[in-house]
Amino acid sequence: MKIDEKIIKVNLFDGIDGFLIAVPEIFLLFSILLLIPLNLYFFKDKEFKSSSKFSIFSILITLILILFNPHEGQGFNNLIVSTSFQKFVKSLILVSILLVLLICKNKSKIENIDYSEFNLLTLLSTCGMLFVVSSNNLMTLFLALELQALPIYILCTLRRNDIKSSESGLKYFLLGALSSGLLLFGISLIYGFSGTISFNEILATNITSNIGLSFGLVFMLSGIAFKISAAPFHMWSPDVYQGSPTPITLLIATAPKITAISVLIILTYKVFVDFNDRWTDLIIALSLCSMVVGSIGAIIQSNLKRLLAYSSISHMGFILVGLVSFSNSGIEAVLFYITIYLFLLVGVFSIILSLNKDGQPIELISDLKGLSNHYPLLSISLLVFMFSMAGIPPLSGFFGKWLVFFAAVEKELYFLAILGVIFSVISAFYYLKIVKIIYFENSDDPLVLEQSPELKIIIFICLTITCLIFLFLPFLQQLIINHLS
Amino acid sequence: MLSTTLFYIFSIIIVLSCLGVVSSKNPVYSVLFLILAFINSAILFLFLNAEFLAMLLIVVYVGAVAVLFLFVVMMLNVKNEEKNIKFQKYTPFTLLIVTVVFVEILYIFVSDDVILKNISLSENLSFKNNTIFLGNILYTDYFLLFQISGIILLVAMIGAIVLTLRSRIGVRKQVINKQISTSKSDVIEIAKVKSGDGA
Repeated sequence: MKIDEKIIKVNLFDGIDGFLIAVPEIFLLFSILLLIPLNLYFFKDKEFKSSSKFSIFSILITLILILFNPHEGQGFNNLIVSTSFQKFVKSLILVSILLVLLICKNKSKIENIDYSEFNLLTLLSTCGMLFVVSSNNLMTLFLALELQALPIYILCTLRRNDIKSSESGLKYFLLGALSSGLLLFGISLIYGFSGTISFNEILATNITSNIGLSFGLVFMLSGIAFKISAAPFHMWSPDVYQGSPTPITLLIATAPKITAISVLIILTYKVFVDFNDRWTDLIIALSLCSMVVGSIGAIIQSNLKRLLAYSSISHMGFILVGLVSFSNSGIEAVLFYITIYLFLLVGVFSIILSLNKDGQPIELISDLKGLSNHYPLLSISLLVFMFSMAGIPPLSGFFGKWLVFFAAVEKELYFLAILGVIFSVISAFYYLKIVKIIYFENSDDPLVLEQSPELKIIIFICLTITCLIFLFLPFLQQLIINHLS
Repeated sequence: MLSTTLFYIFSIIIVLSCLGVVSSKNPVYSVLFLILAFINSAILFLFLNAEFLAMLLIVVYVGAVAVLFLFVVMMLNVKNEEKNIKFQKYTPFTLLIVTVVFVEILYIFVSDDVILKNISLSENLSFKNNTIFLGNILYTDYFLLFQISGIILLVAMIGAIVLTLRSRIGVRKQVINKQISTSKSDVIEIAKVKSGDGA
């Protein structure tokens, strides 16, 4: 058979540049492939501890590689892109994964998730997250989002003898598959109407009045709204938060959300820039719904993790306010908000994880009764985190909300800012309820504190960042601005 | 014109068979409807000159996946499911949303200012032998995507093992080495029986 000469490619790749850009991701992949045989043959006695140490070490090296990788630009036939924005978000993701792994290292036994595959799946998901952030093509975006999500579905079901855990994993999987379907339908519409799946080319088409494209965009945004659990696509999150083992809840609550927010930023600010009048309305609706559902829904909750799920929905609402303003100060506020929110969540979850009652992890808010009598230091740190989430100055949560609403006011979105402040006040109710239970209610059943040194250090770091953020606020803002250019 | 008509006929069959998958009470019928949907999608690929993808769909999805489904369904011995009342509670709401989305899609395709680019004429599919072309771009232009798909399959493997492997205590496993090295005297006892003493 004679093959048409024209279609045989001579150059295999567009040079070595693509590989140099993706060095951190490639390193992470290789360490994952190394971890599989290590788990099987070498870590026999202390399987979980050793594999945990190995993963922490490889995440650290990946972080260093990202921070000091001088190569920027596009690679692999423009499938991925790396700029300072991507580097910032990737480092944030790696820091959150690092904190989760450090917390899990000593807490896996009591949470009954001490399978060494936990580390393996977390690393695989991290790899997906890194590719999501650097995607420059709708196909890369979709595949990487799947790579990010699939290991997390498995992680939710890790405690497989527990019916709640299995339920949460199944629910997350089904709704995640639905959201992937929506996303894929949107992508196919965008491909049909613009004829391309590359971000560069979509940006270059400059079609503004195309209904088909904006319809596809609506589906894509709904798919991503599932991932950040913005209302009305939030139904999965309370059940999944409650059902999955607590360390995995922490994992779900931090890194994938950062990833999805960065995808939203890339899609709205860098790809569909010409459609800003269309997606702005959509995101305003998402943001208002999330604030309402998050603030009102949390009031009646009695389970601690369900409450945190609703609180995260309302925080997503505030973050989307920053996105709506469509300005540089808007993205700045969003990035600032997710950074401080990450440390707040890690702090709260480390406190929850360090307490247990009758040998069981605590579940209900009422389990926290009388905490102040036995552990004054721990209760004051929980108080600081709760005040910060409620947005009381001078703690970090206040500055997050302040920047977000400031960006909205700059763009004359007064109603959104006013409603945001109102719902922020409503949500303060349930944060203060927790504080009331800690300080003003007593219980005969004392809680047991079990803290490893790592956990103490992590709580201390989160506390320091929460309390002293106002000292290095200008520095942090400058850092984010530098990464935006 | 003919190809457009045929396209619509096959698409309608796909939609109907998908409805059949969801609504039929017997799970075996559902799987058979699924196979019908796959075969019709393969025919749609043929319209786009993508004969390789069409054959792949039939070989992989019909030949392997759907048949596997059929085996599982038959082995599980699933009884005909009773209609769940809980679903009917939400039916009006579902119908409302579906209607809104459907009307929106119709509006897009009816309104004049929309041009759906003719994907079937895109240069990627104009080659006579698209197997060669696919192989050519899969390992060069889209090398990264190929690798990511590979990692996703690795995740599936690890996941299946994590969720199903359990080490039970007290299971007697076959140790071939031990079986082979067993000598006759370990397992057989030769006893001399006096004549007349045996039963």
